[in-house]
Amino acid sequence: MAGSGGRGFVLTSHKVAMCILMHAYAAPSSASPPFCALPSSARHRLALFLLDQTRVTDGFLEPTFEELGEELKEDLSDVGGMLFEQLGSRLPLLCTPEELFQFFQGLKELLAPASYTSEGGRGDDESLLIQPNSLLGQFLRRCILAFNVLSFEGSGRLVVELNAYRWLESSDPRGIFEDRDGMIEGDVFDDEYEYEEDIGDLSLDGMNDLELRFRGPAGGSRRGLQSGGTDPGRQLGGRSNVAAFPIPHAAILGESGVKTRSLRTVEQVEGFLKEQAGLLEKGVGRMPKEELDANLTQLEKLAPEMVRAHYLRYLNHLQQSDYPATMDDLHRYFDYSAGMGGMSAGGASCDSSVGRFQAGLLSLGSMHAHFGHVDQAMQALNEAVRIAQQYNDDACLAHALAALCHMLFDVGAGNETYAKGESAGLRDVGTGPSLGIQQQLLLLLRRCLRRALELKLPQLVAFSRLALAKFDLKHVRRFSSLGGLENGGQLGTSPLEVCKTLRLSSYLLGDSISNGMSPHTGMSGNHATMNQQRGNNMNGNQPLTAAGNMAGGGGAWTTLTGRLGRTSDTVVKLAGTSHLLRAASWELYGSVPLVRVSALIHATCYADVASSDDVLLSYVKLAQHLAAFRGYAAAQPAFEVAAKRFPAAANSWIRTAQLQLIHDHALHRGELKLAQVACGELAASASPVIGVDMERKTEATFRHIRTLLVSGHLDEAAAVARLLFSSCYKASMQLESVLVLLLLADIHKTADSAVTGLPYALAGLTLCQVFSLDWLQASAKVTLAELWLGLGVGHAPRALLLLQQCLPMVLGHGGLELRARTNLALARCYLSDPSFSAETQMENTLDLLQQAAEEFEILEDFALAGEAYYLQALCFDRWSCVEERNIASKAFQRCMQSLNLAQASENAILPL
Amino acid sequence: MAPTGALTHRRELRRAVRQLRARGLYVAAKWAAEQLVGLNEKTSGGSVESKVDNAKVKESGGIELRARRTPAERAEAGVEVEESEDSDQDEDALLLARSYFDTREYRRAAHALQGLSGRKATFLRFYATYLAGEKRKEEDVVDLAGPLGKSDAVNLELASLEQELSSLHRTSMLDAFGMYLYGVILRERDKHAEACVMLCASVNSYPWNWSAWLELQALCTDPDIFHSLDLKDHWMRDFFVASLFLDLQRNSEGLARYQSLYLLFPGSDHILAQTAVAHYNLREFDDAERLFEELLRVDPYRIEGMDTYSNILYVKECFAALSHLAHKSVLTEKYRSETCCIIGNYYSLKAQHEKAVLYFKRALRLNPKFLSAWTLMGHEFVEMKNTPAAIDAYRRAVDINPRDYRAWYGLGQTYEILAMPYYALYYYRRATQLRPHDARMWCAMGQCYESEQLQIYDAAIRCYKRAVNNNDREGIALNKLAKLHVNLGRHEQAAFYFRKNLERMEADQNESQEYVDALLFLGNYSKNNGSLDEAEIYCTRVLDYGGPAKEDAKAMLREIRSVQQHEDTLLSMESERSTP
Repeated sequence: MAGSGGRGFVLTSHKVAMCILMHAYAAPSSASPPFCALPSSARHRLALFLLDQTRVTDGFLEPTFEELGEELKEDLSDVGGMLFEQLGSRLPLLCTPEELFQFFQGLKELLAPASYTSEGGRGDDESLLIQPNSLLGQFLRRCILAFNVLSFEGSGRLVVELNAYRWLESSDPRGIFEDRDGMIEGDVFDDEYEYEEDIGDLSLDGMNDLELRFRGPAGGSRRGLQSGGTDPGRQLGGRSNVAAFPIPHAAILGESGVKTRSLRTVEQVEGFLKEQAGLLEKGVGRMPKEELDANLTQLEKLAPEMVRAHYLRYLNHLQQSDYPATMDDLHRYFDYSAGMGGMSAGGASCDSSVGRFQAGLLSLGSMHAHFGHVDQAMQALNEAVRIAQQYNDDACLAHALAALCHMLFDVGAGNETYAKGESAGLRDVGTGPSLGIQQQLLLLLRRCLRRALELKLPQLVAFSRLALAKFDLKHVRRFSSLGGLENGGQLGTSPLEVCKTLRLSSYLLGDSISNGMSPHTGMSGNHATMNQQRGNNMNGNQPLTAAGNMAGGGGAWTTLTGRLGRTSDTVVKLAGTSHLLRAASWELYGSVPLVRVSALIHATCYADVASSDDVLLSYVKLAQHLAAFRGYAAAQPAFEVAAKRFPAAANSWIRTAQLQLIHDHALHRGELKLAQVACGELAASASPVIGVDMERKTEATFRHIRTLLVSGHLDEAAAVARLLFSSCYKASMQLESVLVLLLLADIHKTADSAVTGLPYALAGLTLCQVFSLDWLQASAKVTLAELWLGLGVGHAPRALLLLQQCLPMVLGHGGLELRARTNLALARCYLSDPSFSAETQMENTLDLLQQAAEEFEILEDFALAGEAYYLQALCFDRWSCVEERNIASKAFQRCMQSLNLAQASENAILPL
Repeated sequence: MAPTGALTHRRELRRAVRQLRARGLYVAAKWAAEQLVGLNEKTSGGSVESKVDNAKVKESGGIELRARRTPAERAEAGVEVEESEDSDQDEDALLLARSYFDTREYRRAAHALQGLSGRKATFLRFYATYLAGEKRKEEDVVDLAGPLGKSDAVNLELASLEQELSSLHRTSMLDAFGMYLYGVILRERDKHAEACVMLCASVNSYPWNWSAWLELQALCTDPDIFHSLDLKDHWMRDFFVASLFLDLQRNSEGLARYQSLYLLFPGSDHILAQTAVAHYNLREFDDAERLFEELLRVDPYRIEGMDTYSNILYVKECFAALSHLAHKSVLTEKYRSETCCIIGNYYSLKAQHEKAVLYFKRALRLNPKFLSAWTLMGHEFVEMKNTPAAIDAYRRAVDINPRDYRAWYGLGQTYEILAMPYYALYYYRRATQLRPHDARMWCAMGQCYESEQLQIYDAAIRCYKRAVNNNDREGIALNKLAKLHVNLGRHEQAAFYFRKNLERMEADQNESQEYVDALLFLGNYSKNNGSLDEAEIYCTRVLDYGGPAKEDAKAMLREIRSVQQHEDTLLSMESERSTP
């Protein structure tokens, strides 16, 4: 039967039932026995229902008889029920091959002749013949064709299946035949009489006669047999050829459904698989793995040629982080699909029978990246590039380049081996080994963009643009010398460029959405996501786990392998990603509220299409925003929401963000033990390979230094900070090095040697200016002001000036902490100013102090809050407001107590 | 082994043949009969005595036979009817059913047995139903088969049989045969653990059913499963273990076991064939060939396992012998997958790959699970440069039996041909996991690593070292090691391996270009190290061969001579200076 009537179109009982329904739709009166005429609205709905049935992709099995009935009833209510019962009474009529033959002969009449148009329809009142070229017409023709090429055994099998189909869902298998007798003589007829009451103009007498004519003579013999054997085969069929179609036991027993439940058409199954794959890629950790596994096993049994099932299995195992199984599935999938040649052809990438080996390599690469095997991933991707070049597979080449770009981001700039081109990582990519890794990356990105533009792959163009923007965002470079010459122009970042690229990419996205022109789906979105994360990581505030990054990437290689997901979805996804990137750029260049806006836009507008990584990222961003503006208590529930939505697989990412928060919190409260533990876990989550995960490692060290600072080990802190600075410098992570400089300044400030701290702060400030890091610059200015204050009373005006300079930035865009620090510093400036006049400025100062104290208290930074209260109390004292002074000093006392309590706390258990 | 052992074996086997035949388990019966005939000759002398013994055993042996017939009658009846616990009527029905069964009318047989209660009748009914389902399935396969033979046909009886058998099992109404059938069905229903347990129980209570052992072997996909089995000690277990070792590619252990079994069953074709296969797996082709020839002499119409023999002939490029074998097999039985394989091999050897593929396809048509045909077809496709088809064929082989290292290796090779050495590595790794002591696998991996795309030389060197340690017969590894070391500038190590390679080639009397290269390098190396005499020896050996190497050697020799002369003059000058 395979191969008959087109690709994998197998005539099944369900399809026969569909044909019967089509008959009821198209020419109810010409059927024998005729169907009752339906009102036109009901016929319309029936047509829609049939159309829907030929296209649904929500499962790979055809519905059973009962399910079909339920759907009918659902869609067409009463009429549906009636149709269903008519269907039920009609199916048993097809109990010999001859009847089937007649039935399909009759079907031909439903097809309209070429000249026929429904408007100018022939006189026939109720015939709505089906256009041969319409979807339904195609379906019908395929069915007829499939029947015509069916061998006799095939039609015999179909008869057996039809019988089983009709009775499959019967509750008690043994009772089937008693039931059936009962139904024929009793229930069915009763029901039919009910219709008569319902619809009135039914003439079922003829039908009853027919029933009886068929069933009548068999009745007696059947009853005779009932007492005897248990072989149901004997009791089948009304008439003579009972023994010709024995139904095996199993076919009737419901539990063995394997055989009797047949597959939908190949197109539908493929659609189902695509949908599942899409879900898998999107919903990290939300799929019931076992269920899917069972489904796939069943599918593989039914249709071993559906190789995509292996792909799904691969995705499933990937999500479960089962490395050997994943490897196995991946190779199996590509081994088979390569052999299938045209089976899944249709994309630009796989015209020839050369197969999709390059796609296999691509997937292999992303899989290794997912598992964190950077070296292996580089090897695989390089090989993919090479093979793609060899076979002139441009699309694949572009994607491979994109993946390589991602890998380079992922590997980080610190990996000397790659930079030197020693371990073959970049040898074939086309750039000389003499260039630094960042130049290589830049060249690679340009190459990728150019190729994508040539090939008109909108996603890839958008992706490359986004990646370029991110590159600009992340990397400081010399303006005049892009070739990588030593003593080029000035160092700096280019926020304008970033903005331009971002805008460009979204225009492009808009274009492709409106044109709906993109033939390729997938990939780029995910890559953009990953890179996006990296982009955020850059800020030094939240290096987020890269685990799971490539999960999407792995899946998305179906771009080449099979077009999972829908075009518009991925394009929209990219658009969403660009918002996230915008958030990152805002974060870097200085506005926390705008970060929130961008993240919010993403979370609200794109949550349904975005990859889980993206959604997660926006959740995390929002939670972090809450922490920065409302304190940690407010952020905690947000994290809980995020963790509930993304359990399991994505957790490591959330976990990292949470750890960062815990660490900050603990530092503020002074819970050193907890801070140490959190910092340790953070460090442990980075890859142990040298040169990989540099950002995470830097971040962990950075936090370690801060812990040391708070716990008072200043010497050690300074030493580690210097080491970190030099390593950052070596790895040309300029942005991190700014942070370290400021931290060094902070350390010196804490050590009360403001003089030595000044150069660090100034250097940091300069770099901030050069790199256009406005927010960081404000923070640097505050630090500088604090240092000036530390130098002595005489420097207070200068400090004040600095603070006033950065006030707009702080008030407009700063978080709680920065604001509190500024307020406190301002108050201190006023207080230490020799020309301080109690009358005019006292109110002002007290206000500042009050604000600072409150903000610090929200942050649970008891030490600084205490300081603010202390200053407040002093002021009140000087102003001899005893009552207020007492309140302030009580508050101070409270703060100190909490601080002592926290410092004494041995709590080292991380909240989960 | 004491003759008494052989005697009991004989008795057991005779009984087993009858019992197995009575239940329609012909393959197992055939096997048992083969072993019976293959028993030690010496003990089969006193036939009367043994018959008497036989009868005695039967009387005492629990499951069967209240001997009512004389031994003579029984001998006439041959195999039939041991159980007579049922009434005559039942007996007759059973006879009818057996006749149906023997004419392959399984459904009729099952029907005829309905209502009969005896254990044998019950088993026969289940078995007939099962076979009916299988027959139906095979017919379906023909109807439904896809382009490459995959199809979704299933045995529709499995579910109901499983139900009935499990209910019988719960009430412990199943005898050993019932348990065997239950195990088979469980295995087909993908309940492997339960199937293992069931088959173990079956072989423990009735060890002589070779089919049950084979099923068990198919379930033991790795050694751990085998160790977890709870098997009673029995001589049949030795057969099983030996066969399993072969299957798990622990060939030398398996060979040893067969050799000890051989003492007991010197005339057993099975042991002979398995020993030959073991030798083949160990790549001792001459031994294997000798054994197969012996096997064919004893049993000229044998087809089982002859495809392995044809593989050997293929490897040894014996055109005539292979064509003879193919011709003979066609005459014996044309439509056997083994026969088709042999013919395919022949055509492959003649480089007529299309025809070869045709025959392999036919073999697969006859038996879609015929492993070696898939693999061999893969080889043919590789030859025909049809890589996707080759990959597909190999992959099917691997999916049928994941322990088929040849197919893994073939997959690796195919991907290597496609210039994807990194991708190929995965497959080679699988192959090496299966055959860690096979130098070829290591060499293949080494080649991948040193390919110009990967250039991971350290890993390549490690692989080649493993190959050398595992007795690399083709001598690829040593040469490669030497060359790699030369390329990496490690001359000392290179010299070491060149020397070893020289030794090997001298032992093999293989004097190829490799040999000359090695000599030349060593000459150069020794010269640079100052051991001129040694260098001279190497260079003079090169002079035996022609080509450009000869000129190089001559030049080097001249150089050596001049240095020597120079030294000589220096020495003489010194001595002259010192003497006065």
